[in-house]
Amino acid sequence: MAPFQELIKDFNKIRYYARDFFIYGYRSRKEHAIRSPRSYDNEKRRLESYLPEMIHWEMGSRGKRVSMRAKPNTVAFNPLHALWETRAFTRNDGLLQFLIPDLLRKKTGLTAGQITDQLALQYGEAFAGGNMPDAMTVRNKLKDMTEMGWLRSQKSGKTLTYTLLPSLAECCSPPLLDALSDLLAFSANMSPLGILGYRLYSRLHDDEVPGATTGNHCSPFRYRHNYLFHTLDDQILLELLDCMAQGRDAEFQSRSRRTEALVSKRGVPVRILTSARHGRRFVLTYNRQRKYWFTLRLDRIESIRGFHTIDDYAAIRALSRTQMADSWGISTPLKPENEDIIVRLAIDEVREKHAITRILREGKHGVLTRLGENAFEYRIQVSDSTEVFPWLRTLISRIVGIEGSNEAAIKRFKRDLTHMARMYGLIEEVPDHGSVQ
Amino acid sequence: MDLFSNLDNRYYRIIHTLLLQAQEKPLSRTDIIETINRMGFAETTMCLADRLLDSENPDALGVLRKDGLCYHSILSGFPVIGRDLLELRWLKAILQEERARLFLTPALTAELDAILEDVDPLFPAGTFEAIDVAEDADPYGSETYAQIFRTLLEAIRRKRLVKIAYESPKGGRLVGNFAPYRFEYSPKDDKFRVLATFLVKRRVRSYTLNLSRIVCAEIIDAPWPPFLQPKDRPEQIETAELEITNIRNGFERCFIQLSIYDQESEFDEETGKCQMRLRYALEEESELVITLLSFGPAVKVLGPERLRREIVQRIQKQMMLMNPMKGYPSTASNAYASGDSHE
Repeated sequence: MAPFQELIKDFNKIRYYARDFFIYGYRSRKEHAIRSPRSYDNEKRRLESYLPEMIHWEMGSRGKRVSMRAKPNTVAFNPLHALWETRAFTRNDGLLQFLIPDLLRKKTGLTAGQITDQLALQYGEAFAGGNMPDAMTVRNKLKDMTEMGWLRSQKSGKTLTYTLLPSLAECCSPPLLDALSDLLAFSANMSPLGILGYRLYSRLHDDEVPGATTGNHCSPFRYRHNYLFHTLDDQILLELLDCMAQGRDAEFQSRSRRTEALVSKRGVPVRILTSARHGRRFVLTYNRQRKYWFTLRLDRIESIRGFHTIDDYAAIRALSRTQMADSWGISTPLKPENEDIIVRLAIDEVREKHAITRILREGKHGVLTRLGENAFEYRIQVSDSTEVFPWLRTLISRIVGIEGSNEAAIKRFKRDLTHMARMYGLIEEVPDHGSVQ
Repeated sequence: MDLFSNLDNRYYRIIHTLLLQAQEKPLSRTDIIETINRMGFAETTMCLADRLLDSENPDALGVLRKDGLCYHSILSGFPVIGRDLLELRWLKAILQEERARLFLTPALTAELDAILEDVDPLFPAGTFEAIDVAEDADPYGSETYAQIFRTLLEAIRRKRLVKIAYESPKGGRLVGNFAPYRFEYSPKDDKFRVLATFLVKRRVRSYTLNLSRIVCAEIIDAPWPPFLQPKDRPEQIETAELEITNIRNGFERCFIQLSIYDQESEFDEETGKCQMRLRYALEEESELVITLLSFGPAVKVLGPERLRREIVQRIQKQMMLMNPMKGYPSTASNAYASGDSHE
């Protein structure tokens, strides 16, 4: 049996288990049926190694359960960023990582062949048993480092020469470095693809691992509504951004919410929609063949394949603004007409002024009208009434009446209220409206 | 583009740190293992130490040369910190946000813009849209706001008092010498708040101030007096007990949205429901109430009693509003009187 390897080659293995352990900590070992039991044991062990402070075990009625827990409003840095630092490497990779830059720091404009020779001459002792990397290995590493931005390559006749580029820290004045530290400490948590900010921050702070509670440069920031697990989808996000930057059509392999089966969908990604309230992120996409808009949840996308660049990308992107103008959240215009919702509210204008303020702040393109003393009406037109309901439920205890053009949806909203009353024993008889589903 | 880069991993950072340390002085075996223990994952010492310490190891990473009992770096100088183009492109992209400019004076902005002149942003402005952020986000474009932000940030870093004039939401102005010690940010309302201690009638109180309500802030170049030393005020933490039903994908909705809390859960096979214990600060209870209501019948609050009572009162009041002809006898105690809500 091969010995346990702490580092991994494929992030997707960890992505699934980290997300499941963090969000669905109630699931038992047998419920992780989508992967093999052996895979579960290996990845669980790795997560226990990477993030021991987050791992919890509990014995329940269904056996042992593993979950990952955190206090997201107390962390200075997202502990899940550590998962991106677990890539496996070969011995040659590891050595060349340090030796090539050290060499090129002293001598610039060397070819791959010259670099290979100099490595043997100057650092031969580093390679155990005299197993020097061959020219192809060195060339591949140089290519990787050039693509990453560490090196610049230039054509010199028929060959390429390589030069080491200065790091960001070497280009910045001390006051700029200080200001950048704070900006990066914040943006690593609150900007998209924060993992890149985390890495950049780490480069500026040698000898530190910016963890949840460590760090000599203590971050003065803490966060509310901090969805730590978003970083698990950052590779998908990066690929989406790449498609968008190039104006490409793409095919998405996405897991169905109902069946968990992989479903293929084709479309042009134009924008990322994020919900700080619900913790979900979506890509707004347009299917050019069948001419309809749809959204896909980032955490359900398993892979993306980009196709050709399309000529009308800019036009599609511009169209998305008008198409989504009447959406409360992510619903796309599937019907020819929008739906009306009219809510009558009883709000004490003196003692509940904060409620009025909240409706004005959160009510989007709806209109709040004062009908009389302590009486208000909130009116909105949206593409999908049901999207508004979670927010309308936050006004429970003030809703005098609700009507709308989608009568089935309005009935369901009222049934839900009745169900809630029954849940708490406020209604004893069986309601007229039937069961909630 | 691959985020899971073979040019960036924890082991490389450990080796980088060891090479830095070895430039200062030769390292002992203990030094090396101590650094790996401190910076590595739980099993890193087992996986990496031997590769660095034993030159006979077939996977040896011979960046440290052993000389007697000490280890020296084989590099000619300090290890190079790499320049990552993807990171720089990301930085250029986030600098498009007004919020990012809070951290940089105009002079520093110009300096950074010059450094990144030849770098394309990773994504253009407008790529990300927050669909449910409140309308009254902080005015990041205001130079006054930016100046106050930088003043407070400097004060926090240097542990200095700040004279602050603050417009309270309830009206009136609060003026005094505060000791700010932390920022708090929420993407839900896109606002910064600053936590600070303040002496009020001989008692030290902690305040949470909305940055947008600070009229002016001026550093008093004196360190915090000992009695104003900020410390995290002990929050009163409560535990909510919830029963979650998988109505209309209730599990997914609730578990994702409630992942911002410290919580644990268990599934009941008999009922098909999940029991969740969720810890929250008492001062955030009002927000939790409306969050739990938003889930509709998918979530039932079992405790604590105060939280449950608040939920029940609201639902009871709601049923009376919508069905004024029906009486809804309370099956609980007389504590279900109509009460003030705060959200």
